[in-house]
Amino acid sequence: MDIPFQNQILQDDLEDSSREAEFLRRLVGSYRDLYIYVLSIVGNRTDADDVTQEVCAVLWEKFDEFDPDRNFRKWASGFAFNVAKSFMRQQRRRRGFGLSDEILARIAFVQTAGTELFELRRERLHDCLTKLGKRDSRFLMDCYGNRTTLVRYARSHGIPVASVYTRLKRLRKNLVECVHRSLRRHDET
Amino acid sequence: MMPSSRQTAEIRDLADAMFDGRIDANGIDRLEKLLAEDPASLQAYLEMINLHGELLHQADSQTDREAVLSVLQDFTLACERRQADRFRKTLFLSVSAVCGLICLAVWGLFAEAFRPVPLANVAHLTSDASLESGSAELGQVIRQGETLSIKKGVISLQLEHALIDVVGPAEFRLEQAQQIFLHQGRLVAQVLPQGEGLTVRTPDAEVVDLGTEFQVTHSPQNGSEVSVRRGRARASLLDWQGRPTKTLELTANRAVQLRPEENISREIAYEPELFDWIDERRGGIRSLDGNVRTLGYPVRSFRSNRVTTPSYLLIVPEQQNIRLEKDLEIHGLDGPVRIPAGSLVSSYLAHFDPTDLGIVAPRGAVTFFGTIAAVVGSAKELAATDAQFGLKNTFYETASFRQIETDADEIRLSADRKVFSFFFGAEPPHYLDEARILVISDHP
Repeated sequence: MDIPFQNQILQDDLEDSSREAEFLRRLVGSYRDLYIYVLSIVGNRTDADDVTQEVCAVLWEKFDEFDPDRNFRKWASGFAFNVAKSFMRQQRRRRGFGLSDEILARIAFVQTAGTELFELRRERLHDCLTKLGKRDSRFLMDCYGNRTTLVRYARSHGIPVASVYTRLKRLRKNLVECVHRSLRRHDET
Repeated sequence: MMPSSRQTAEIRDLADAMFDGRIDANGIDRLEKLLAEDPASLQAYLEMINLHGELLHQADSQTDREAVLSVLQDFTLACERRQADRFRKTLFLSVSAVCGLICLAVWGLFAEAFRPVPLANVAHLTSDASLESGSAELGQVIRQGETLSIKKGVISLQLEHALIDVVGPAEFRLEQAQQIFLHQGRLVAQVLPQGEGLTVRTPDAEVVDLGTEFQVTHSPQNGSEVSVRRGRARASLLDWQGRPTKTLELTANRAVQLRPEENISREIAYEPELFDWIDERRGGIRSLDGNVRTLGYPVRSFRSNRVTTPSYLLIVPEQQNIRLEKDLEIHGLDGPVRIPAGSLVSSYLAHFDPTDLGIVAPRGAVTFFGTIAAVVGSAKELAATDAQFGLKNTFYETASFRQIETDADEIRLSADRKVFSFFFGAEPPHYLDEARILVISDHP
């Protein structure tokens, strides 16, 4: 979807000292971490997309209360947790099952406490991705990109869904172990 | 304590299942237990989720800036919905409304730049129409990129050059002025000549209007089906990149099924009943305004107190497209009317039966595609036209109190005789008021 004057407006706003520009700057700087924080609580990308949008709405509503000397990411996480928890409660009611509030609180706590470690792991992951073969890399990016589903991917390639899951499982395992090895090497040096 | 390698593998599988959206109740129970008992399992779980999050980021073609812009655009829509909800529920100056106002007002020009373009408005609702979340209102503006999830009933949207009816349960999105994405459910489109090229996409098919009335349904189990009632349409199966393959051009009274898992598109039997269903609920009604609805379900009797309408007028499409074999002479509300033989006439019953004085007298308007030939309001004329124009196997009130009370009820027709405007009062002891609107058909 094209947004007219998108880059121009954003550039203008980022150089502006208005409240909106301030909010934008802080949100852009924290967006990736905020998204992963929400993902850690809700568990899947579709729900994470919806909840993150709602979180952004709440953050703007509350932005007047934000102390600029505070860490925006930490401040935003508080609201993100409440929105995500409320969402998961609704899911539990609707589906009849779901993780408890207590477990969600633990997940949020460990995700926050382990921020630096998880960031380090993500950096190592980036290195591990460069070691993948072209085909595996393309497969992975196709599965995770364009918000496609694995079922649709399987259909479009004429392969059983089970094959997609098997291949993904193998690649995910390889990447996790690659990250582990990389961190161990880092610790040993 | 380090989890065993077996337990680690299990946690990773559960994390994958959670992320892929394929975890079930047993999986959740097992995950809950593992995460509660062992902090190391919780760590392993989050390592996987973070891995998924980073892979999403790597695979996403958007930069963080673009992602935020995209979220902000959706956020502006959510902001408006939030404000609309609050206006309905609270006073204008309540705290919640103020938050919504701040939300929109402070964005000001900035929000204007990101506010999606309005593409349609809600022209018609059946009495049982409801959304999965929030509510739909007549006249509500639907903007570019906005997704509607209809729980049940029929919601009709007026686009610039087309009228689309969406039958719940369904989910769809207006992507552009001439493009709609139907995620699942059933959609019927009536397209004006100026709207030729209107495209309806589903997850696995694309239908391009070539000047017509057509219907598209989609479900994950059955793929997509396209039926053409009038005119022509081009239906294509889409490959995994969204490119059309296996294209069929359909003319009137033809239908095709498109199934991606079998990679086929094949002609199937055309079923006119699919369109009749919509006609029964909407007929040739172009739009509704104010306190007026159409029926969402079949009715066998319109006798007094059978179909109550607390605060709205019910417009019921009756016999449609009746070709008159001879001239029809009737007494309408504005005097004698002669409808010539050969005319294609559709009938609509305006039915108001509040059963209580403590109601809001409905006021509104109904716009038709065709031209209103006559409005029949007297008990005698209503009875005289029940058989010819009324619904088959349906009972109508026979008592004289069914007629319009000219001193309490008000009916007006627009100068072009396409709009029926009304204000229906309620007079005890019998509250039922009815009129029959005869419209000479004039398809878009």
